[in-house]
Amino acid sequence: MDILLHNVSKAYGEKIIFHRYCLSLPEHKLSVIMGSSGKGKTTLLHLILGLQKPDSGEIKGNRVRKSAVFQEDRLCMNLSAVGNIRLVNPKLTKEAIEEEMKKIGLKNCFHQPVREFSGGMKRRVAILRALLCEAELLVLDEPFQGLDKDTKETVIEYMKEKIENKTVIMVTHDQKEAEAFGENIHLITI
Amino acid sequence: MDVKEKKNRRLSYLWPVIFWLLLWHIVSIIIDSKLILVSPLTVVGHLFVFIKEAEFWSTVLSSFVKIIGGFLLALLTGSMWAALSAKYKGIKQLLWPVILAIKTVPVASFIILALFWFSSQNLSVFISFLMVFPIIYTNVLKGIEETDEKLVEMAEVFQISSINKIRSLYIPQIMPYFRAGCSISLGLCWKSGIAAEVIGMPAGSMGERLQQAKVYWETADVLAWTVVIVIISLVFELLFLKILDKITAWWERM
Repeated sequence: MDILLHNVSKAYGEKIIFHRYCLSLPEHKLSVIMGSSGKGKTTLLHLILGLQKPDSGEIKGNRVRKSAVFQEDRLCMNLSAVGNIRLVNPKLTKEAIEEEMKKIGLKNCFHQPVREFSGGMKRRVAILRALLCEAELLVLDEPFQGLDKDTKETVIEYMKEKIENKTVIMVTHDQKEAEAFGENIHLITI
Repeated sequence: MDVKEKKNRRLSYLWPVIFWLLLWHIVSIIIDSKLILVSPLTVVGHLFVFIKEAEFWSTVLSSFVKIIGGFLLALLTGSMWAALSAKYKGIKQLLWPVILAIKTVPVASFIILALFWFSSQNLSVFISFLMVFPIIYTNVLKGIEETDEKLVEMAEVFQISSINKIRSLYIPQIMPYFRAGCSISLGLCWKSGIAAEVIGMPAGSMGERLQQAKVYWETADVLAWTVVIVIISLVFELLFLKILDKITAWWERM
């Protein structure tokens, strides 16, 4: 089912973010949302995730199992990378998670608490957590921030494989990041 | 930390104790009155006499069980009510006057009131509980309220189960507050519990023995019992916090 925003309005005090805003995000496809700062990209994602309620209007198609990469990593710092991922998908074995971690360059750090990780490592764990969660809808808010060029390329290749046939909404500032996912994307500018 | 550093650290703790004991000894010699102040050596002598008596151990055990019983009961109920207060604002609002009253009313008033309500035998359980409860309640509640809102949102999005949320989000956040609460209240529960026993004089308690020593002007016995209380309190605090730290470390590794 597509995700539909119908006449959605949202304001913070006097500041109107959306006024009777309508949007359709196709199912099983990657939708990339671009736009300058303060336009409400993160608010839009929070509305879709159900973390915020619209002042008026309605959102359809988002009552499914969701996963997300937030602007911040939002990891449990006392847990290991494996622990963080098992928290959202307890069915995964330790070995399976370790295999997936290796694919994005996270080696020899499986059981270290993530508070000891570098910024880039934490980001990769946050991405992996979202991708390995058995969700129908994946929401990514500037997922590659803080990653160096090579790591970003590795992670994008890995992500392409994992998001196939999933409904994905990604916010980015970087046109190149959107282009890296090929031509079959749904590009939205707000 | 190397051996030399450890030795230096021990020494830095030890020398002030020796200094004050020496000063106490010198002052007791100057005063030269067994009624006002006896020397630390006399106190140690009395302690050795005590520990040979079977009654001493039963007295210590009786007070220990009651005071620590009150402490553990307060840990359990204080944490439980803090969790309920964090979840239901109505409970938090309902409890604040009670917490404030317990914090501000002098412990002596509670002891006297409690003596009207029930037997002095269980007085120290109640008083120890009463002194610890608001500290644990306040600290645990603060820990829950300080939990990162963004992590709570993350848990909501990923539909993390309540058990896992408590285990991975809340407990690591609460533990430092809970530990600090335990550290403060352990000393307090002994002070207030013994004060309750001194006033209520339940049979076979350390408070009763202290009171008897006071009545018979046995200054050395008063000091010896005080030393016993301080040692038990310190040893229990050290052991309890060590166990708590081990549990926390094990929890984090899980």
